[in-house]
Amino acid sequence: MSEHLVRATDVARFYGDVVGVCDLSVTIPRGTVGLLGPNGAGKSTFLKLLVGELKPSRGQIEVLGETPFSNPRLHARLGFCPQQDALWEELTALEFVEFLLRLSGFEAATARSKGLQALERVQLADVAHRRLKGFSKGMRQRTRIAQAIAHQPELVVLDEPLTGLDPLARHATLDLFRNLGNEGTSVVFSTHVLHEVEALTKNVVLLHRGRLLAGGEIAGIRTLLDRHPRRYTIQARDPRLLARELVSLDGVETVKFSGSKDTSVLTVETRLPDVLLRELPGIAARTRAGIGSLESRDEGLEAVFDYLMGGAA
Amino acid sequence: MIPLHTAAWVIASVHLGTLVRSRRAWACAGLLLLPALIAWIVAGSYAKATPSGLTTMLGWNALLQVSVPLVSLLMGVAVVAEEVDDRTITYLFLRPIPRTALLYGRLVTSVLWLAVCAAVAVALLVAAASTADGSDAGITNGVRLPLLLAVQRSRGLHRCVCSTRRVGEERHDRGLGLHLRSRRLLVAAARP
Repeated sequence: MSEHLVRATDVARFYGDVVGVCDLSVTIPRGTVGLLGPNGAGKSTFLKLLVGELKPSRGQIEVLGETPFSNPRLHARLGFCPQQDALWEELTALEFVEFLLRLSGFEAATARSKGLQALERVQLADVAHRRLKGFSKGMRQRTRIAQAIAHQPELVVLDEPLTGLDPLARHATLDLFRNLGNEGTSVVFSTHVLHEVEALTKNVVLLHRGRLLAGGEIAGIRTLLDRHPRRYTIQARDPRLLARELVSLDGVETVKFSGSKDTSVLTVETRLPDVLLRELPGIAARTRAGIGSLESRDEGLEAVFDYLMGGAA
Repeated sequence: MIPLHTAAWVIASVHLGTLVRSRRAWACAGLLLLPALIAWIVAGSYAKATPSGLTTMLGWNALLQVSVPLVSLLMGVAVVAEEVDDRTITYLFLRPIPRTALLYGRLVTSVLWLAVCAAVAVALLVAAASTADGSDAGITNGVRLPLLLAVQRSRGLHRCVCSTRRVGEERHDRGLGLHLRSRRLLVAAARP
């Protein structure tokens, strides 16, 4: 058994002049791994290279110790849930999963029972005999996940698997991935929402503009982020009073004014966001500054990338 | 890896179910049945219509020369293009099956569908022609026509698939030779 799940060495994939991924070298351990990046970061391209749907333009990639492109032996060991909403509309959910199971080598009866089990796991057992063309976006997404896990592969690769799911289904799907991990199945999934990954795994790979930005445990990346101050914008009726109190707080580096005559906006940069958030209600009550809103400018993944890129992106 | 014939059979069986519900398949069936429909109308409304005239005009000129090549083209192109356009090909290429299984599986289904439609079209055409004046000529042609049509259709479909795979000119030439031979046979049969 290969020690690593994925080992990519200087992998690049180009679509004509457009760069999908470029000079990507990364080693991903077995377990659950989140692939993060904004739109156009190269996540889908990287996943397609992993499952062998695409061939690298240059470089080498190994998945479970094998080269993935056009490798049926490896295809039997992995499941893939693509991002595109493509299904055979005239089939029922069960027929769809059963068909793909039969192409994985299962007998008709086994394929049927395994198909039902997979649909049950994604909570679609009650609509297993309904045609896919009548399915909602979330149900279609769960059907695609079902076909990826039905043959119990060693590795499940999912491209944006939580897109289109309502909060309940999203929670259930995260639970499913957690269970798969506990059963010993490795899961690689892509998303652009940081907290979804945090809920599931400690291991992440961050991509940006087709290149590897960071890889490893989230704690390490957080430490990297903590070296940079966090920015908050506060809308207040009387910002001067508020600013006077805020500058004396621990960790606050700068306080800037902006806005119009009626409402002013304070932009506060702090290295200790916990202290700011803990003390702010007390300061607001004491100074009667009339706080209208408080927003963090740094919660999005884009901001994380900005920091990691040294503010250049 | 799953054996080619097993994978092709599984693909064919599922594709047949989706094919009979597709608009493309029914459009092709309509194109094949159109000459027969015209034959019924002409046989019923035109007093001078003869069986040999109907089978030559509608069997040879319309069905063999127009409908069959057109339908072969429509179905042949769709053998793989449909999966690519719908982006469902990803599911098939990431299964442990030979890639040619997809081609063979879908080809078998398309040929089967067209064979059934062509048989029905020929049967209706022959029936329509026989009602024109009751002579045997239409029936005689009607026996030859299905055979020629089957050869013509499978050759046409094969050529279409081969051309998409850039097989080359050789098979096309052979198909053309057969096409000309079958034309001579039919014309000879149609002569009184």
